This record gives sequence, C-alpha cells and structure tokens, in this order.
Amino acid sequence: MKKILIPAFFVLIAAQLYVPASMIFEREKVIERGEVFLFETAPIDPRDPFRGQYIRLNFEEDSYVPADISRFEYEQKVYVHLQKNNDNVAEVIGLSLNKPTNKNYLEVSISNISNDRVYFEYPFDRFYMEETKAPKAENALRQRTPGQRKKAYAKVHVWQGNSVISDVLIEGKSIKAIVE
Amino acid sequence: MKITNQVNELLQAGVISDETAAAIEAFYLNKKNEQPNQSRLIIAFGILGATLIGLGLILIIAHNWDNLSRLVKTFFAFLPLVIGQAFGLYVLYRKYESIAWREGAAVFIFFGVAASIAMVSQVYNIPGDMADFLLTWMLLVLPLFYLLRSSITAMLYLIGITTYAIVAGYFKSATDPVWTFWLLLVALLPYYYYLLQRKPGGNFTAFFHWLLPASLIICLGLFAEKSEELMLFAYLLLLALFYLIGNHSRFNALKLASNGYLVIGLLGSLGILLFLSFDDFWQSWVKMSIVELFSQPESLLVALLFSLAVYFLFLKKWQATPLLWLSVFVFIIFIVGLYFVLVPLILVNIFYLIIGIYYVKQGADDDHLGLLNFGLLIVTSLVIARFFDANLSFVIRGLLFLLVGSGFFIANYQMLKKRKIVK
Repeated sequence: MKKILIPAFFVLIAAQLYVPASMIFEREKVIERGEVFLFETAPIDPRDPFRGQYIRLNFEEDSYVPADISRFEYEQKVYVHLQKNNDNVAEVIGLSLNKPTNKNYLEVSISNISNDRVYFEYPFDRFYMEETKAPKAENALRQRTPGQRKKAYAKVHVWQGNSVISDVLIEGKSIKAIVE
Repeated sequence: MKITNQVNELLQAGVISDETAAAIEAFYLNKKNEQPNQSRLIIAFGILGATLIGLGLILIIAHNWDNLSRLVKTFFAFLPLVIGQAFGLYVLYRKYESIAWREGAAVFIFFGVAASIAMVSQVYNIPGDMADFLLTWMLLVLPLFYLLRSSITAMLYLIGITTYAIVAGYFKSATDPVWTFWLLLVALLPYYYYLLQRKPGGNFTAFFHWLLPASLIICLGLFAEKSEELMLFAYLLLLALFYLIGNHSRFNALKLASNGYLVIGLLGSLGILLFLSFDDFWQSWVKMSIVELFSQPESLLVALLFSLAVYFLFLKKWQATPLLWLSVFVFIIFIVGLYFVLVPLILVNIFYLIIGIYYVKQGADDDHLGLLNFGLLIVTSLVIARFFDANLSFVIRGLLFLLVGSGFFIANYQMLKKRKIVK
C-alpha cells in the first residue's frame, strides 16, 4: 500500500509547489522582458477574504473606435495594440482579433459595445496593499478637489500579451510612499 | 470500573445469572479493547489546532507586508506549504496508523496550499477572481484525502467546491451548469463510498449525510435556464430522492440527527407541497403544453431525477409506508395540472392533509408525542397557508383555526391519559 501512497504523495507535493512557482516565473519573465506603460486610473478599495486588502483600478483609456465595429462582439477576446506617448502613458492605437507581430499588446475581453465604440477590461484590475494603508490610499485620492485633479497611474509591465502591475503612482510618486 | 459494580449489584439482587454477569463483563472488556488507543479528543484537538494555525497564517498573509521584499515574500509563500508537506511525509512514513496525525497534517496542507497561492497572487497583483482561486485550490488538495485518508479534508473540499459552484454559477450572468463542479463532486464520491462501507456509524460519515444533500440542493439550481416551473418539479424530485435514500435500509437505522437525507428530504418536500397548495404555481403551469414541456432543457434533468426516484422506489430496501406509494400520485397531479387549475390544487391540499393525519396517527399508534405533534404542525401549516388565501370567508377560516387548535389539545390530552391508564 505504502509503495503507491508515498510516490503518489510526492507527485502531489510537486504539483502543489509547481502551481505557485509557475505563477511566479510567468510574472518575473514579464517584469524582466516587458516594456513599462502607465495607465491613467481611478482607484477604489474593496477587500478579498483570502488575499486581503487591495485597491481596485478603473482605467480611463478603456475603449477604442475601430474602423469595422461589426467584427467585434460582447465578451470576445481581442488584442489591444499599445503605444507610449512622451510621458510613458499608454495609448490604444488598434484593436484586432489576431495576435499582432510586435510585443506591445494585451489580451483583453470586450465588456461593452456602444455606438461605434468598443469598451474592454484590462487583465489587471487590482493592486494589493497593506491592510491599514489601502483605505488611507483611497482617501488620499478622494481628497482631490475637482479643479486640480491629481493624476494617478498604474505602472504596468507588458510583454507579448501578458502583463504585471508593479506600482500605482500619484503625481509621479509611489502610492506606498504617499500613505506612509 | 463502574459497570462491574453495577453488574455485581444486579447479581446479588438475583436479577441476572452468573453467566449473564460474566457475559456482560466480557462484552464491555472487549468493547474497551476494540477502541483504538486514540481518543476522540486528541483527534478533535489535532484537527482544530491545524485548522486554526492554517487560518491564522492566511489572515497574517492577508495583511500584505509592504516592507518585505519580493524574495522574502516568496519565501514565506512557500514556508507553510512546505512545512505541511513535510508533516505529511512524516505521517506517511511513521504515523500512518494515527487518525489525529493524518487529519492534522492533511488540514495543514489544505490551508498551506491556499496560503501560498494567495501570497503569490498578492505579490504579483494577479487579478484572477474568487472562482479561479477556489478551483485551483480544490484541484490541488483533491488527492489529499485519498492519500492521507482525511475525512475532515474531504468535508472541507466539499464545502470548497460548493462555494466554487455558487461563485462561478450564481454570481455570473452566463447560464452555465458549471460542469467542473459536477466533475469535482464525482471525484469525491469514492471517498464517500469508502466511509459508508468502513465507518457506517461514524461521526464524519454522519456529517457527510448532511453536507452532500445540502450541496446538491444548493447546486441543482445551476441547471435552471428558462422554465421555473420545471425546476420546481426537479427540486421536488430531488427531495423525494433524498427521502427515499434516507429510508433505505443503510440509513433508516441511523439516529435522526445523523440522517440528513431523511430530514432534508421530508421537510423540503413538505415546504414545496405547501407552496403548491397555493394557486400561483398552477396558474402558470396550466399554460404549458406537453410538447412545450419536453422541449425545455430542464426536462432532461427532470427525467433523470424521475428515473432515479423510481429506481429507489422499487429497490425495496426501505420500509414501505403507504405514504410513499401515495406520493406517486404527485406525478399524476402534475399531469392533470396541465389541463386544470382547480383539480391539482384541491388534490395537493388533500395530499398535504393526509401526510399530516398520517403522522398524527403514527404518533398515536406508537405512543410517540413528537410524531403526533409533528403531524399536527403539518396540519396547522396548511391551515395558516389557507388563512392567506383571500377567497375563503373569515367565518370558515376562523372555524378551521378553532378546529385545529382543539385538535392539538385533544390529541395530546388523550395520549397522556392513555399513558396513565397503561401505567
């Protein structure tokens, strides 16, 4: 009996270690090889029972007007082509059903189509923070007065359709530094 | 030992013979030796300790330690899991006979897996929603209860996959029966079968008799697509199936508290029948045609549950009660209901009343106050339900209440009087 149990248990150990490890390697590869884009964002702050406090990010640049809208449908997986402006802020320059040849693109799902505009959801929408800091961070963002809006950006590494969000910047400073 | 003193006392009083006294003592001595040297308390503490430590680790991780570097965080992501796995190996090599060690190590690994995935998701801000998280977690702990024979992990797994089904099925707009859930559930069944075979009277087995029907009732709704009416029929059939399983020879010897199938099946079907005693359902049911009924996707589910229920009904491994045979007529009521509204309505009310009276009679025959009052409660619920039907006059409703109220009084009084006379 044990002749089967113990090897089987080793296989289970390997699987249990492999899953989190592969999650790490995939993201490290993106951070190392990817290009950094800034996405303008408006964060809010919910909580996840297992993973703790995070801020939820809503992005300004979340839609595009394609030439031929009839090709796109709701909940479809499409590729967003990105380009940086002089301040490293991301701009959407195209939308396609096939993988682009260059590396600056993301795989997204279409969340809405209205008039001639296609809205989509980025694969990154949460940024985890220490539990005491996340509400403070949200307050810091809320205190901005309507006239002088503080600009918040998510710093995202993009590589061949994959992405890792590594920081949220407010007026150029890391959100973690601001709430300390 | 207490029992020897009592046996001696009975022996001296001449109540039992020497032989009987020796047999009683031998029986208790054997029983004591039969019990493995692991008290239930140690098992309970082992499980509780591992659960608390596991949950504690998850909470500490959820704090999100910003000041730690990515490397340090990664190290801590793997630490609890690796410790748990080391415990698991130790158990496999040295302590496999000890239930407390097996259960404890398995529970620790169970939570260790969650902690490591959660920590990595945090470090890299991985978006994945709750359903994905639960699915990965449950897949990675699935072999655990087979390898370490851990019933508590199997229970946690059942709760986990049910939560997954709720999050993935009910909280998303797409209508999807979440096939992955049903596959994950099938993967648990061999373990349940093992418990049924080896530990038919065990505590963990009894927990499963509650958790499994509860999970099925929760997840049956995942199949709902268009027809609410057919789904109600499906629920009624599933509950009937539970009631039949609860009456199966394997289960009906169990205490009521251990027989979740019977309790859920009986109370659930009564609830649905009570709902059917109002005309709301029949008003929309009558608008359906048989052809339309069979073209609904839910009809397949109903057919499946119906054949299962019929199979169990004719299995005859349960004590046949007249009530069970009568319940076949519910099916006929549904067919009649396709053409008339009033006929099925009256039939359901009569059927419900018969169930109440049946239990009152059973209680009276067996001299069982609990059953008697259960029957009276069924009748009362019917009367209260009719109270809300505006088309009965106040006088009739008032008389009904008086009747049932006096019924309660008279039935209980008669039974207590009968007991006194017997004494």
